[in-house]
Amino acid sequence: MKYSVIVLFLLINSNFLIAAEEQLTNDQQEMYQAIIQEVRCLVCQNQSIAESNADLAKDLRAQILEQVITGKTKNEIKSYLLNRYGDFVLYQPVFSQKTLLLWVSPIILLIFIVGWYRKISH
Amino acid sequence: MKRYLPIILFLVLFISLLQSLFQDEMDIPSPLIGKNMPSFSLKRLGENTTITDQDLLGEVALINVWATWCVGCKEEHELLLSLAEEPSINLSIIGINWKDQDQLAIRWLDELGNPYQEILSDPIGNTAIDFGVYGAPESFLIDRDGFIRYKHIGPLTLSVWINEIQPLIKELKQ
Amino acid sequence: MIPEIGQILLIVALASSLLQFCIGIGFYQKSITHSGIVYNLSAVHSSALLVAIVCLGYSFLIDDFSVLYIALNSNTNLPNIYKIAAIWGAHEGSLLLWIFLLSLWGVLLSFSRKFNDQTKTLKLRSVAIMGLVSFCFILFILYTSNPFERLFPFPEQGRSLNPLLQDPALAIHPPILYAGYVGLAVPFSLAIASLITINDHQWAGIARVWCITAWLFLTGGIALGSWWAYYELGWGGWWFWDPVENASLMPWLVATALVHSLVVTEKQKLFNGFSVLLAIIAFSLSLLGTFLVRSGVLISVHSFASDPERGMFILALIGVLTGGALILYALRVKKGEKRSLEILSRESLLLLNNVFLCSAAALILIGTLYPLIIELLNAGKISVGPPYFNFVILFPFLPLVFFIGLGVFSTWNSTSRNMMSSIKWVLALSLIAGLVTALIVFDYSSLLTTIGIILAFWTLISGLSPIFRKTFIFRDIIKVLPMSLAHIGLGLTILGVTVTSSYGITFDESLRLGQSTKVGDYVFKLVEVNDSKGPNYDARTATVEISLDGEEIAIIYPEKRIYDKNSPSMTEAGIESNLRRDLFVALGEELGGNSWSLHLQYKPLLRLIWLGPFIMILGGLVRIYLTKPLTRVMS
Repeated sequence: MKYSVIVLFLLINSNFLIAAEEQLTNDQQEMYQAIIQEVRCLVCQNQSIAESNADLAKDLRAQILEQVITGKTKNEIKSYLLNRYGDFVLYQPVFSQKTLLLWVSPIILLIFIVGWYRKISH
Repeated sequence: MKRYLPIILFLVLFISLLQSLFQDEMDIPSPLIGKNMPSFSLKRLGENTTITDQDLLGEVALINVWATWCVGCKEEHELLLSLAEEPSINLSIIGINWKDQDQLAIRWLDELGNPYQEILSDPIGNTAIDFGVYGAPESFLIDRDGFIRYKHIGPLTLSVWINEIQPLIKELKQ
Repeated sequence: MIPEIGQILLIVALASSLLQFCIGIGFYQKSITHSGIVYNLSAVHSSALLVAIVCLGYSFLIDDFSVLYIALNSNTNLPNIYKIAAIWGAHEGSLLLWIFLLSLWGVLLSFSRKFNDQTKTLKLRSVAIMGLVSFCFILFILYTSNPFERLFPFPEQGRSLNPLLQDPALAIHPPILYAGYVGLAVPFSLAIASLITINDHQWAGIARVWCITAWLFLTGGIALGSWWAYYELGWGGWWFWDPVENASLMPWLVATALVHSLVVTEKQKLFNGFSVLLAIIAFSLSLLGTFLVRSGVLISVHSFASDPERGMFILALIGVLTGGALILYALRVKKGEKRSLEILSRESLLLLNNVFLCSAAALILIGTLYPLIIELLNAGKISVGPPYFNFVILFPFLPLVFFIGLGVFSTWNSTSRNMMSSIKWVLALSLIAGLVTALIVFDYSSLLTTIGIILAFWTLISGLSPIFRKTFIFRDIIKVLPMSLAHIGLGLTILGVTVTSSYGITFDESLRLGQSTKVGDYVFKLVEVNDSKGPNYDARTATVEISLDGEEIAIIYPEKRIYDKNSPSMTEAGIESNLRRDLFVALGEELGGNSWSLHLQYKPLLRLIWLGPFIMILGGLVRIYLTKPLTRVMS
C-alpha cells in the first residue's frame, strides 16, 4: 500500500516521466523535438504541444517521450495520436481524398505558370 | 473574359467566408465513434481492486470523464444524479476520475452525491488519452459489445440527453 | 468627459471622411475647384482621430476604469509605458490606431507635391477613395467596436494587460505593422482613381514610392513580430504559419510584386492592368487579414476576442471595397497592348517573378483557409500548419530566388547579350561560397539545405554585383543601391532561415542544480534558481552558465514569471546572441530534488533572419530619400 502511494505520488508529479528525458540519445531527442512540433495542442489557440504549457500538452509530451524511449517510430507515434484524436491533432494534413486539392495545388500552380508563361512569350 | 476572373474568384471567397461566420462548431470530432472502446485497467476510486474494459461488456453504459477541478462537471452533476436515480432509466453510469486525487474525489462525491455505478481512477491520464479526451467533462455512450457509439464534449444537458442519447440508448437496448 | 470628447471626435471624423469622399469623387459638379476643401477635410478627420487617441491615452494614464476598454486592459499596477501601449492592446483600441494611421496616409497623399496638372484629378479621386475607406472603418468602430464605451458601475481595479503583451515590442510592433497594412490603401486608391479617370499608366510612377513606403513598414512590422515571438514566447520559434502571421505575409508578397510591376508599368508602359489588379489585391489582403483576426473564423494566438457581428461588418466592408474595386477593374481596365516579350528581358523576368510571388501568396491563402472550407463542407476538422507550409512554399520560392538573380542582370526590351558572361562569375562564386558553407563550415545536412545555401549566396552576390560593376560612379551606385540592398537583405534572410532550420539543435533536458549538459559544442550549466520580484509579477530566476571549449562565454538568466494566480506562468527566455549564433534557454517545470526542466537551443545564423529585413528597409529608405533627390542634384 505504502509503495503504491509513493509510486502514485511520483507519477502525479511527473518526475518519473520527465526525468526520463536524460536518457534520450541525440537521435531520439531530435525525433522527439520534431514530433512535438507537429502535434497540435487541442486546448490552445493554435500552438503545438512543444510550445504550450497546458496540462494536456504536458501529458501528450510525456506520452510521446515514453514512446520515443521504447523505440516507436515517428509514424507509429503519429498513428497513435490520429487514432485517438483524429486529423485535427496533426499539423501536417494527412494525405487523403479531402486533402487532395491541398497537396496537389503547388504542382498545379507550377504547371499553370509554366504553361501560361510560354504562351505569353510567343 | 480574363478581366472577370478576379471578381468571380472573390465572390467564391466572399461566400465561403460568409458561411464560415455561421459555423460555430468548436468540438473536435472523435475518430473512435463506431470503434471498440480502448482497453484499460484502472483502480477503483479509493480501493485496491481493478476494473478493465472487459468488465463493462454486456450492458449499455455511459462513461463520464470528470474531475473535482472541473467547473463544467459540477454543472452536469445534477443531471447525472437524476439519471442515476430514475428507475425507468436503466443506465449504468461509469465515472473516470481524470488527473485528480482520490481523497478530493471521494469528498466531492460525498458532498454532491454519487451517480456512478463504478468510479475509476486515472491520475496520470493515459487512459483518457486512449479515449481521445482533451478536456473535462466528456461522456461516451458504449453499447453491449463495447463499441463507442456517441461522444459528448462538455457538460451533459437535458436537451442532449433527450435528443441524442436517450433515443440512441433505446436503439441499442433492442 | 474626456472619453465623451473622444466619442464626439470619432463622429467628426466620420462626417469629414464621408464629405472627403463625396466631394472628392465628384458628386458635386465643380469638384476640381473644391479640391482644397477635400484635402483640408482629410487633415480635419486625421486630426480628430489623433486627438481621440490622445483622449484614450490620457484616460489610460489616469486609470479611468469607467471606460470599459480600459477596465478590461489595464490596471493601476501597470507601468506607464504599457498603459500607453495598451491603447492598441486589444480590438477596439487597435482599430482606432488603424484608422488613425489610415487617415495619416490620406493626409500625406493630400499634401503630396508629386502630382502635376495632368494628374491632379487622379490625386483628387484617390484622396476621395481614401476617404471612403476611412469612412467605412470609422463606421465599423462606432457601430461595433467603440473604445470609449462606458462601464457602470465601474470597478476600482482593472483586469490588466495580457502579460505576453507587457513588453517593449508592443509599443512598436503594431504601429509599424499597421502603418504597412493601411499604407497599401494608397496604391489601392491610386489604382481605382486611375481606373475612373485617365485609365493609363501614369498612376504607376506616382504610386511606386507610396508602395515602397508601405512595403517598408510591412517588412519592419513582420520582422518585429517574428523577433518578438522568438524572445517572448519561450520556446525559440520565430515563424509558425499562424493564420494571422500568414495574413501579414500575403500582402507583403503581393506588395513586393506590386513594387516590381510598377517599375515596368512606369518605365515601359506595360502591364498596367496587372499593376492595377495587384494594387487592388494587396490592400484587399490587408482587409482580409483584418477580417481573419477579428471575426473568430480561424483559431489563432493573435486573435482578438471574436464576435460574428464584427465579422459580418468587416466582410460587408470588404465586399464594398474589394468587390467594388474588382467590378470596376472588370468594366474599365483597358486591354494592354499585345506585345510579345523577349524571353529573358527585364520585363519578362519581372513578370515571371511576380507570378511566382503571387503564387506563393495564393498557396498560403489556400492553406490558411483550407480547414475552414473542410468544416463548411462538413468533412470534419483538420489542421494545416508548419509542416505543410514549409514544404509547399518551396515550390514557388526556389524558382523565384533563382530568377531573381537572373533578373538583376537583365535589360529592358531584349535578352541581354552580356548576361551570360556576367552571370558565369556570379554563378561560380555562389556555388563555391555555398558549397564551402554547406559542406565545410557546417556539415552536409541534406540536398535541400545545400541548394538553399547556394541560392542564398546567389541572391547575395547577384545583389552585390551591380554596385561593383558600376565602377564606383557614385550617381550610378545610388541608382542601383535600393535594389542591391533589398536583394542582399533577402539573401541574408534566406541564409539565416536555411542554416538555422537545418543546423539548429534543440534539447529538452532536466538538470539538477550544479549539473551541466552539452548542446552541440556548447556546455550549459544550471548554477542556481532564485526568487525575485518585478513591478507586477513574482519570478523564479535561473542562472545558467554557458561555456565553449572549457571557457565561460556567457551567463544568462531565464525566468518564470507569475503575473497573477489565475493565469499560467510566463516564460522569459535567457538568450545569448551574436550574429553567428543564438544560445537560448527557457526555464521549464520544477521537478523534485532540486531539478528543473530546461529547454535549450543552439541556433546558428539566427540573427540574419532579422538583419535581412533591416537591410531591405535600408534599401527602401535609400530609394525614397536619396535616389531621386541625389540623382537630380548630380545631373
